[in-house]
Amino acid sequence: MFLLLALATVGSCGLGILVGYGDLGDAGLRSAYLELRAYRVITAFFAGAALAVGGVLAQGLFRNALASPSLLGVAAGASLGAKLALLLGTATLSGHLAFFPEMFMPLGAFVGALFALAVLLTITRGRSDIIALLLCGFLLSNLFVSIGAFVTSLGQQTWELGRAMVAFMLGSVGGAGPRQALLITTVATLGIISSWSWSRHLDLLLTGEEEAQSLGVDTKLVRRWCVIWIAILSGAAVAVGGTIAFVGLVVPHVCRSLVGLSNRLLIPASALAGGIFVVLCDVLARVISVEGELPLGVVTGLIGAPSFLYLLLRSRYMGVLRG
Amino acid sequence: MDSTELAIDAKKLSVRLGDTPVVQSVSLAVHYGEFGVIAGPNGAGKSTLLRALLGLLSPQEGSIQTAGHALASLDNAQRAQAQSYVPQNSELAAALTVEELVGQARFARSESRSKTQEATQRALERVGATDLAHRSYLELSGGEKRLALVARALCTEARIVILDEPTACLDIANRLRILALLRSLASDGYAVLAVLHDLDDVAKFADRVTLVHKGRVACTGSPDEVVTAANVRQVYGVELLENAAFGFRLIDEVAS
Repeated sequence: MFLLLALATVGSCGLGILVGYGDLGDAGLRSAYLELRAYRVITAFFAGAALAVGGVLAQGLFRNALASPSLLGVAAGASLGAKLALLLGTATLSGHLAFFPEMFMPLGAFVGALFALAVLLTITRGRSDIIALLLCGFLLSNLFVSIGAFVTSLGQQTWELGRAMVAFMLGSVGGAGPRQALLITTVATLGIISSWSWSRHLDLLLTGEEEAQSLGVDTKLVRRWCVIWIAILSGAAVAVGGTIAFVGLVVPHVCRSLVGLSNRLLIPASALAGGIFVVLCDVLARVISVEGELPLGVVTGLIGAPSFLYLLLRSRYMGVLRG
Repeated sequence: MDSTELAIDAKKLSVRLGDTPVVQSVSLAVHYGEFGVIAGPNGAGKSTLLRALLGLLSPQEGSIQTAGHALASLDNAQRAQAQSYVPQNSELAAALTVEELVGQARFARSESRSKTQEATQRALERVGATDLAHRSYLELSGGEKRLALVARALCTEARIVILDEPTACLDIANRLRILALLRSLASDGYAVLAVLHDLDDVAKFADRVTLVHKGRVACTGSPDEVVTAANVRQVYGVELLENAAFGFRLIDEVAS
């Protein structure tokens, strides 16, 4: 299975480099096109991997196949951070920076994710029940979405700014450059390795917190680190790709049917499959031309939502994690 | 293990949930080779007491010695190796096979996969459930699920087994099968402590009973000493009908 996933990784990344705007036959521009596409493919792959592994962690943490990283409110926090960065950047730094300063928005998103994480951990500090975490995440998510909508409405006063905010919400890795690629590669690699180190603990959490505790798991510690890594992984993915829907929800599901429930296999398989999925969706976004490119988040949603519905209807126990 | 050695020794435990005192100054002891039972009406504080004994709740007062160690001084992994827990129902939210579920018991040990498989096999053999190994836990009947959970507890190799209502919602045959298994574990030197409701079962299978009422120990001792008309009237508010025996036993037992 992993050999197949490795081959699919090579194939999808190859496709991602060969397909897209610009003629590779033009010798003068070929290397520039290839370079831009390579950054784009790397960013898409690691963003997909980060979101998928975030999904595995969220589903393991909440012991529910319907959970996704967005439940913790961190993605909404990242989105708000990016919009604020755009708004403040334009208001205070216009004239000093280009309109799309390369890392201003991604860093804003990442800071937004970390801020959301800090708020979540502060509110839930000392509380031992997972439902409190879920509810706080849900409420924070709604709060950040509302503030984000307000920021978007402010942004609409400037046409270009409003357009940039909407584009961010629809998701894209089109503008990825070397720094975005470096950010997501570093964070995703660290996050995936760390998440994998918690895989046995997560396996035991499937039986519930008390049972896991009685079997020797420090459930509070596992929960804290899972929340931190979900936040960092999804925050980094939002920072470089905007809102990329359904990856964290669908990919772990599909991978369970391929490699089973053990997180030792599920985490690396989901990382590869998430990367492949987003790279292929990005290729589709480039191929299906609707006044430029179709937004990446639209493609992942159009494929992800029906796939997820199919998987749900096929499942005998809705919400139960199945191999 | 020496059958006179104390496996669980709880002294003057008090547990409050919020502002409500649920367990008040309860003392309880279980020796190796003994089948101890906590009985009492609903809401008496049995499950809270059990959770405190497992280390899942911290008592506000009192002390617990488990396998010769202060429970509070043991970390999660050490606790898991000293005592095992059989919940009434697993909250398992994944379609694990019984073999995978039972193998989880080896989490606290760093060992090879083959050793885990051997231990899993031994535990399943011990409870007579080897045929369930490759079935999904979620697809099992209530009795089979209970056997799988007992197997997981035995797979930890802890010599103290704590069970929360192991016979709840089981039919007569499965109920007797589980109780006979617990009885045989005690005979093999395990310290078994279970919350049970049925006083007939308590009288037939237990070595020692602690009757809990309103968070306190109403009385403790052998089933003959505890399951009396006066105690039952005081704790449950019902009459114990003497000479109204209506008992069952497993057919295998009759044949042998």
